[in-house]
Amino acid sequence: MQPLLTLREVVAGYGAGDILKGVDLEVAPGTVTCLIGPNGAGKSTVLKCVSGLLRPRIGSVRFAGAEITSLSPRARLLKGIVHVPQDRSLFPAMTVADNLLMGGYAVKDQKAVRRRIEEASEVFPICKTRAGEHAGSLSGGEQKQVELARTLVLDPGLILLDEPSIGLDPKSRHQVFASIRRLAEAGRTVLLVEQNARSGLAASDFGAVLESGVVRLVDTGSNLLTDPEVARLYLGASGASPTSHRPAAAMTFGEGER
Amino acid sequence: MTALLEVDGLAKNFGSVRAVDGASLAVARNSITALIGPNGSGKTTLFNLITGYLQPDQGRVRFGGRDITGVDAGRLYRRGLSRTFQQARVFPQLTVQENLTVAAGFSWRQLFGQRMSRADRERVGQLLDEFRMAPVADLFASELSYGQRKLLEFAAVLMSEPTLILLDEPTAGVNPVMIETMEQHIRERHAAGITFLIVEHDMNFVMRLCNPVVVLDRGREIFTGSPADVQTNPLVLDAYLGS
Repeated sequence: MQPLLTLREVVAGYGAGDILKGVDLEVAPGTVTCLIGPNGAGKSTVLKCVSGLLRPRIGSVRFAGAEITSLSPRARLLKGIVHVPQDRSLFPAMTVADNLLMGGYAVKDQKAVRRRIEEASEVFPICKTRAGEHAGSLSGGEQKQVELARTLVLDPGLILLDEPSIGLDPKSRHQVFASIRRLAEAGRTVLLVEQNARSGLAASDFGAVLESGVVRLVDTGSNLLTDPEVARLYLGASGASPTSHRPAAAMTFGEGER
Repeated sequence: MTALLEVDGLAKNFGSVRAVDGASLAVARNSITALIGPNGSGKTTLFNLITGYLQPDQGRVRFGGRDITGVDAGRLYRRGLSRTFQQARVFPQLTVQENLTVAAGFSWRQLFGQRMSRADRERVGQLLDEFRMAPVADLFASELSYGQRKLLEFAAVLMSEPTLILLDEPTAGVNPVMIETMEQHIRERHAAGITFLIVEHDMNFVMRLCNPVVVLDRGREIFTGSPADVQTNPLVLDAYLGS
């Protein structure tokens, strides 16, 4: 099967430094893929390269068979790539129903938007039961569910989720991962970044481990859960011996700096 | 022998968030001790409590056998406990040499506008040499690269001739060549008798340089051991990978 999303040797970063140093990644249609890795590995940066918030310096991003590397975020959105950022992104002073409508702001066919809101409400009942309440009055876990529902208003081909469980208590976290499974059952393709590696992998078909800007491991979610190499990537190489005490001449102040 | 630094049951709340929740640890004299833990486990808050940048709600800190709980950062600096910051804090509008000079801060004469002591001046020259900074001594700190600024900050805390240095993510945002340089400087100062407590996310750096490694999760220490023990400890794996 053709992958829906393909990243090839993507190099990207901010300012002078590169965060991603040649990322290769594939996401198969209709699957949930979880990207894990230690702090600062570049997980969120990968998502930004897919949604277009960041342009890669080198490499290519292909979606549904087409090159999208140089497309704007808006163009990618209209192609069906939806990015749910890490921070809460609902409008807190608007009702749940209005937040869902806002999800379809960029869509011309407002009839379709209303139809999709109906469909989303079936997957996420909270959209109906709390429709008239201010989004800001919902708990973090409930808000996350509305955010997931809102992505469906765009009839997305690919949903990008950045740390959907961050800051949530264990019960809400469980709900969010159950919601992600529901998205998959509804035929959606999801690429998520997750700090809680075990919960993320358990909810995913496939997993990839990013470390220092490179994908080091790819496997099914369940295989990665038991792979000791994952722990090594988080906690460093085992049996690392102290490097010898080198002469002061090896030290620099300026060289090698960019 | 008692530890150089003893932290006993420190706690700190920010509103309803318990950032540090009864953390205890000991830093042995002349060790390079690491403090690691997942995002949000309270590492930097613990640093701020130890170094007098924050007042603890509970708990005690002892340094060299003396209770230093709540003592302000300036006083601790003069007593030999210094720190660096995650984002290098140097004075951008001062030159490299001036940054070292103002870090001396020992002589009361400076308060009255008098020239610095000869010992301090010699120390500035010596640090410029040792850190290969003599060629850039007259550049403004703002003209240095980020890695160079971190190295300058490290050199500056040495002006106080500290016995204990707390480094907050010394390699964050620093290129590999500079990381090696930073490591060599830490090793040299360690060989000269300085004790280190280091917060760091670069695990390969931690595991080859530090022993013991203290692991913090949700505001309290969950394990202390050698790098090899830490890498295989189930509690540590749970903290990092989730459970």
